[in-house]
Amino acid sequence: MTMRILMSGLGALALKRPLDWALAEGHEVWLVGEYNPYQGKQPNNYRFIEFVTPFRTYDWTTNSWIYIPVDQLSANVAQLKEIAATFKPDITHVHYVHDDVHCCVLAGLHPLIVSAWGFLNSLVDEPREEPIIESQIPDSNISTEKQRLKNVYGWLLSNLDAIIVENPTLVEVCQSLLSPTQRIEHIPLGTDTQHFHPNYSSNAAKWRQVLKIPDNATVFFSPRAWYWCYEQEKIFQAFAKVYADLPQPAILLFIKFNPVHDDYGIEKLEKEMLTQAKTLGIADSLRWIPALPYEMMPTAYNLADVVINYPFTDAFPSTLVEAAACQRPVITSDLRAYRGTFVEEYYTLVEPRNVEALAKAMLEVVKESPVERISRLEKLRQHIVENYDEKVMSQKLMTLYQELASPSG
Amino acid sequence: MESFDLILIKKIALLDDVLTHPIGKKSMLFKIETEREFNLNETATRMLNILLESTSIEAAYNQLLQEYKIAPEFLQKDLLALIEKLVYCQLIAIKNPVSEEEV
Repeated sequence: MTMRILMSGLGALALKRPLDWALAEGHEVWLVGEYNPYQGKQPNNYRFIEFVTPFRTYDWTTNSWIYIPVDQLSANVAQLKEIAATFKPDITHVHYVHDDVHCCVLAGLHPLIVSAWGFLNSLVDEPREEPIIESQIPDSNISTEKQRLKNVYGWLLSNLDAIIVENPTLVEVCQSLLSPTQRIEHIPLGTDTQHFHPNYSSNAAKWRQVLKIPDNATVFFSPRAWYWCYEQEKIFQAFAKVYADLPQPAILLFIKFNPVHDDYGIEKLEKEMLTQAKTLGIADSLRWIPALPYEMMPTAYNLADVVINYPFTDAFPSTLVEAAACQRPVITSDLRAYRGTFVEEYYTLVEPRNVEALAKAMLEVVKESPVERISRLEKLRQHIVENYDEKVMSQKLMTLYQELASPSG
Repeated sequence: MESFDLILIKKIALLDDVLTHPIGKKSMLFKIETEREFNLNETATRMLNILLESTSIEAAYNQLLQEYKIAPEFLQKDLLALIEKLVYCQLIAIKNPVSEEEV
């Protein structure tokens, strides 16, 4: 059955992929949002409508989020009602839990699906003792913030027909917040395993030349961006701590920070790290590459010997799936958000925010027998192909659409 | 740029800050210095790969002529246009085949 799907959300990969899937299935999709992800030729079954919602902001003086009062959303709600009256959607799907969801709920759009995409992370975070980073949300406010999020999300969640979450732990949490008639679906982003695979070694060798990385170097690659919760500085500290014991040459490769949006003082952090590296005499062992186009990431994974993912809060990043598809060993923080997945069986888990433990893990991983590693990672790739390929995720999402659009079956 | 005949004996090399990635039969190039990406279609990808593998532009031209079986003047025009565009975008350099110096 071909459907009319109204989508809304921020214009990132997490929105673009389900949008691609729906369009590829032949559904008619209208996207309302601030950014049109199709900048060239528009697909025939697609229309973009500019829709700007005010967004919650963070007040640094009171250290709290300022939510947009519902009555200030009336113009957006009216616009959305008008769009819905014209389009008559079979399904409304909002990506990210933000004020677009408020508007959809207030406009009475049903069936309404929301994909969390990281916005519910705080519901599964472990309690923290130390502040996130200096000048960030002090921990004294974390529990208040959590309660506030529960209050806001509780109201929103009660009005949804389905919520899509990225990890099994969030499924459990949402079960306590939703009624049994509301659906909770576990559909992470997944990856294209035809594109992300381990057979780019000759291309990876060329990249090593460009990045001045010796052929025989052991490369630790941190593929996440620079962000307040991704702990790049701790990855560096662990590398520095264990550097002398690593097989040489050893290289730590980061994605370069983009200083255009530096709300968290990251540029300063990056500079301090470089100064420290010079003092320690390991500056030559650090490399940065700019944020690459997503399509080029498979070669980046392929040039790495070890991938490091070390946030202290997370949903379920595609990094973990992409690295697995490329058969790279991964060291990752042990988060509740990753429990109940392949991560526990196949990756090296390290307590978050523990430089000592991360350093130890780096050493352990490079000492692992190559035979055991290859066998384990081949098995993991097979698991990813069967369970995390984009086709699997697309099928799950399309099935959900069909079932909600025609609940009687 | 010089005429086609004059550059035939020269060779092509990627500039030092250019990363490439195959996407099926197409490819993507990324220039680190400018942080810009470039998409090449199937034909341009094949042309560039042959140019990079060949000892001279002439050798690449002859191979492409055999592969595509098109009129020489069309191939000459397309090949020159591709080289010009890639040079303009600072992705490749035209080099002297003996000295390896950029020309």
